[in-house]
Amino acid sequence: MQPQSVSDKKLVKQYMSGNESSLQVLINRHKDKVFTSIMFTVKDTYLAEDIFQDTFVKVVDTLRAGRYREEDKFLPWVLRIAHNLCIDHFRRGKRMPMVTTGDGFDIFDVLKFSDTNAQEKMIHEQTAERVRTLVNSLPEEQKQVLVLRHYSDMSFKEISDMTGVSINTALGRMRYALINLRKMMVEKNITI
Amino acid sequence: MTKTITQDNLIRYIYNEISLEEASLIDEAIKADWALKELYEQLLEGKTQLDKAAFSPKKIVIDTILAYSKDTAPMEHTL
Repeated sequence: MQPQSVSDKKLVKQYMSGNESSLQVLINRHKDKVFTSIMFTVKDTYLAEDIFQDTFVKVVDTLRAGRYREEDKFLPWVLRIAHNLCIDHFRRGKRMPMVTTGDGFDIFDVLKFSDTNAQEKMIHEQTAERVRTLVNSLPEEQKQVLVLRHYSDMSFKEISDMTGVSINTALGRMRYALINLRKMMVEKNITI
Repeated sequence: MTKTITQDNLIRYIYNEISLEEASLIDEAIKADWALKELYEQLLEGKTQLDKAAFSPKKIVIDTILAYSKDTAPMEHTL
């Protein structure tokens, strides 16, 4: 059976039984969803990497300690851990997220590529950055729903459970987020 | 029929959170209602742009987590 076709639930069980490669499959399956969710919250690549790492260390420790409840879905559970770690970070620092470099762009990532690849990667990154800037300029409650639904792939029901708002409110926020995004693109004459 | 399609239904539609029956109703409504079609296209365009903005963690971050897991594995799993 291909790793992609094995359910999260089964991979978690395999990992708890000592199969280390199951963790790798789980992380690779969900890494972008979890990392994007963190990045849009903290807006700092290095901090996001730390929180991402801490999130999965906590996942490992919780699974090993047998404290994972099987009725929880794996991804929403991991996202809740990540979300709580982001909140902990801001509570400790008593500050709101600031844009550090503003781009999450790591020059060492580019240097590893040939010139052509580096150019393509830079164009791709510039495009991505324009969209990220628009997303970051949305009202916080719209951005939260948008990130959880679009990037983290959580259902509106799961978002409702996690954030404590009704499904209709989550749907409404998502609708305004998408409409506002498009409006900003038109206003700023952005063709992506 | 168009009147039964709310904007929130459209959001659920573009994120595939509706039944086949509902999807079929929305398909028909979009074809019949110009304003609804325009809104649907706006929402879809916004959604499409978002796909370009996802982030990925560096490989070394993943490797560090996997190394932590391996280093802290119970003895019976490492034998």
